[in-house]
Amino acid sequence: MDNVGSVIERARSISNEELQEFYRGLQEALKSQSISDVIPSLRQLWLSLACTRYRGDVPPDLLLPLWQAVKEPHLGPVMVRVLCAAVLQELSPCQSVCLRGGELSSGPLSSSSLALTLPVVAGVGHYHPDQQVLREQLLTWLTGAGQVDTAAIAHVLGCLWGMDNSDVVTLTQEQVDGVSKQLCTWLTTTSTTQPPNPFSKNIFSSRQLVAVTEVDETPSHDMFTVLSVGQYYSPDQFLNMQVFSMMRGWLQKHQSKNGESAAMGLLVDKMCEYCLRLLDQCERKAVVQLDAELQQACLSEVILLLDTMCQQNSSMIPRVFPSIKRVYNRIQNNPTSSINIINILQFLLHHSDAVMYDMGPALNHFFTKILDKQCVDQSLAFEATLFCLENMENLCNNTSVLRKFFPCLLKVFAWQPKTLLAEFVDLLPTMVSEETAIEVLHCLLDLPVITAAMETVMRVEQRASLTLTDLSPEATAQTTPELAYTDPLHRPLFSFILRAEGGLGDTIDRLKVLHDILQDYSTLPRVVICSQAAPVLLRVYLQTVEQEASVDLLARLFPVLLERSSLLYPIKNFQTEVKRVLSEALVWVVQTAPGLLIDNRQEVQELMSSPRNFTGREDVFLHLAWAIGEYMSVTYDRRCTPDIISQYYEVVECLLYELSVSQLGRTETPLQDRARLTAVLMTALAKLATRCQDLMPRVLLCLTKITQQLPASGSQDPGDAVLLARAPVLINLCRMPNVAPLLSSLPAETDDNSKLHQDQNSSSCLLLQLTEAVMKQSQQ
Amino acid sequence: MTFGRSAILTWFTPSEVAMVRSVIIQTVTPGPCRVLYAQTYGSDADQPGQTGSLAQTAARGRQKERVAAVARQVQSECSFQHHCAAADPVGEEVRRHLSQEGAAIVPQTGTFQMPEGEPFGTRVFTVWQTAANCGLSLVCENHENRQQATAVLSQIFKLLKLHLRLLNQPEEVLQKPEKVAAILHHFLPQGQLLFLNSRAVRHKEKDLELMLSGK
Repeated sequence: MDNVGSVIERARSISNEELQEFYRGLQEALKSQSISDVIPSLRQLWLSLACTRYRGDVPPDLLLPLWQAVKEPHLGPVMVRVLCAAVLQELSPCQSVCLRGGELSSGPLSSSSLALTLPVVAGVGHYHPDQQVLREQLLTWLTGAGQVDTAAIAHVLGCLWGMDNSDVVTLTQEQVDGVSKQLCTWLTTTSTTQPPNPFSKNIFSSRQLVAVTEVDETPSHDMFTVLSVGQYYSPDQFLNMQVFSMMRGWLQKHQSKNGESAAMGLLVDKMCEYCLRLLDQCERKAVVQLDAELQQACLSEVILLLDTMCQQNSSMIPRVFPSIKRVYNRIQNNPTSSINIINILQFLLHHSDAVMYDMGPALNHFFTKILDKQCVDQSLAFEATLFCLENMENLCNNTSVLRKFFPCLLKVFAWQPKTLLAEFVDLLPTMVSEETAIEVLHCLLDLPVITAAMETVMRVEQRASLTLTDLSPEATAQTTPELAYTDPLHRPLFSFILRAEGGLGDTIDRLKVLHDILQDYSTLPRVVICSQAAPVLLRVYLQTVEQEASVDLLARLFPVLLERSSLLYPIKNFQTEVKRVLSEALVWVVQTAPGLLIDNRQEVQELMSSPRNFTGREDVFLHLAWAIGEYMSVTYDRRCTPDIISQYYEVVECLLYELSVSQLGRTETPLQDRARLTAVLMTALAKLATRCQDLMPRVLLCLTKITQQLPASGSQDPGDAVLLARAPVLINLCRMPNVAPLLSSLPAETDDNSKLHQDQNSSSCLLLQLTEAVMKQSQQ
Repeated sequence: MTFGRSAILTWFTPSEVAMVRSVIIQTVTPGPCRVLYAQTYGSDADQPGQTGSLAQTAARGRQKERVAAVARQVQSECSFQHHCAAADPVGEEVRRHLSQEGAAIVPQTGTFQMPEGEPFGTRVFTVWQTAANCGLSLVCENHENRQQATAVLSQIFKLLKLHLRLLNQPEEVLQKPEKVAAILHHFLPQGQLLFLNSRAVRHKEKDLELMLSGK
């Protein structure tokens, strides 16, 4: 039974009257009892607020004792006060907990009080009635001497920075300078000795002052940083850690506006020193694993900080650059530092020009040696994707990495198709250029294959890391893809599909073999999700190409679209969706460059004249037939001779006969689709015939035959009725050789002419156009 | 030259803010997605100037909606990973060997991004971690340090598991919210990610134990 659900539902089902009753009861209880006696009721109050959206109407009289308890440490045990604070925070933003800044200072100012009150105050945020007073109070505590102790300063700083960061309060330049000065002091004057054990009751123990150590346990002789290790820490040392943690945000927000001021200048200078010291500390071998991880996080923070500072003040670059380069040389082959390589690349992208440094090799190294090897690493994949996205413009203008390493990037996507889809929708267009377009298309069509191949490699590697005895029986047997991967005959197929770099060739001859090998994996969840995401990217790709491709590229694209419509990884929905996208693409390609039907007539005719190509590609056939009927005309291309038209006529007619007379596609294709296809084929024939008078008798014969065929088949299909109606129209049209060509080919300049044939209300418009055309001709 | 230059132009320059927006504890198994605890930091000025109580109730409602949107996505990401893992017997064995928590509970982790305006005003990323039916996630502004966010997330998750019966009885989070608040108070003070070394973590853990024991 779902306990969570029942607890929540119970709390939600309390009616408003019951709730008001509960509030009154609690209010009464608080008058007579101490606050620690009503803990269950307080928890109940929290729950009833937390699990509903619109219960904010708690009486202020009930909240006041809670606020008192939060503020006055002597009123109850600390956990009860924490609970009261949680209730108040759960209510926020809500005016009734908006207590004035002035009220804060009236009570005792112990760190224990501020620790709990300030988060509540900060939670009120923009709805605070007296932000001005609050800001002044916080600043007085921060910059004034001695009013509050160092432990409390940490809470005050956290509150002020939180509100400043989310723009609840706005600090003036002088105030920013004041705070910056303090931050600088707290960063640089931290004690470097270990305090005595604060948890010990024996006040005489360990009076000897011991210096903090480095992460490798050698004594530290330099300034205190977050990587300085002691048994215990004093409040000023904790404050140092806090200041470092907020520094990047502070500088990002204020350095550019206050860059000229002395206080900010000093802070930046000291911070730079602190960072360089941290870089040294990151090189030490940490004894504790947690510290080794912190070193990585610090390294990343330091690089980002230095980057921020250099962006605001380019004169710092020469001072910082050698250190960054040293870090890069140290970590470039360390697989645990991969994310920091990205941070360094970011730094280089911003600043390498200033020091005339060629970052090309570093970028290449990253894509071929790091990302390619670790693209199944989730966090690295995420960082890499974001890096490419955020620097899209720079990477496109100044480098060619996105166009060069798109296979590697698409592998990143193939492994996390669910998480990274939106990012790749934005990123994909930057990978496409005249040179890469065809190869990118092949990659996109094979995305699920890439996923399946990656699954194979991962399994083989995992298996290698285990001994056979470790495995349960169902995991012992190797799968077909795994066996194929270890087979030298098939290995090159995997190497090709999993390549990091483009430009080696658009695709391979034995792609079908690879599809067959990997067929067993077509039901894996990751592969299935990828197969659902791939058509989305394919559409993005085609939109991009549609906007920018040259005729030359379209000429290369057309045969690929034809060919790949039959060569797809066997996942049913994937195939259907991709074929739909591809056939739509075929139409606009022909629309843009009608001559392609002439250049590629052999391929098109071969494809359409072989019945075995038909099954599964009905959509492609339909769109092609429509395009042939529409664009095989001298209007679009002067090379369109009657000969070529006749050839096409031949093929389409043959297909039409096959479809209506023989059993072609009868079992696989739904009746409705057959009728639609038949109608398109008939219309295409009529259109072709109108442009080549010799074909007229044939088309009349053909259409009549088809009409006669229809009732004979005895089907109940409503599509047949449509065909029966369509055929006489076409026949009549063909009987008027003077008018027919004008009617059957719409003027190319008509807006949206591709849709007119669907417009049921367009006959009057057509008639007008026709009359106009006839008039014009007769005038000439 | 690259195509799709228009795409580059429409890409929004990321915000310069680095902060944690929310911390969320939730259920993750298929079925209704339940938020057990959520704390939002900072303040969204989505409708500045409005200070009436209606506006505040609406603001609170929006906060809850955002939290629910993140929670749903965490649930969905987690279920995807779960399916992938279930379809991979060899990998399962490997993870079982590596994980110290026993066969039943292999923790899952991940990161995802949410675009500007959906549901937060700015672009944010979420780091999440789940075990059994319980998920913990941190929603951060895009410029926050992701490595540190992940480290803090694990630290908090570890403490939650230590002080509450998170894996077997996740409803305890609903019943003892002050324990969660105390943990966050020490390890995510006012929503700030702190760089704490192993000893500093230990020191804070002791502080926390002291607080939880009521001294």
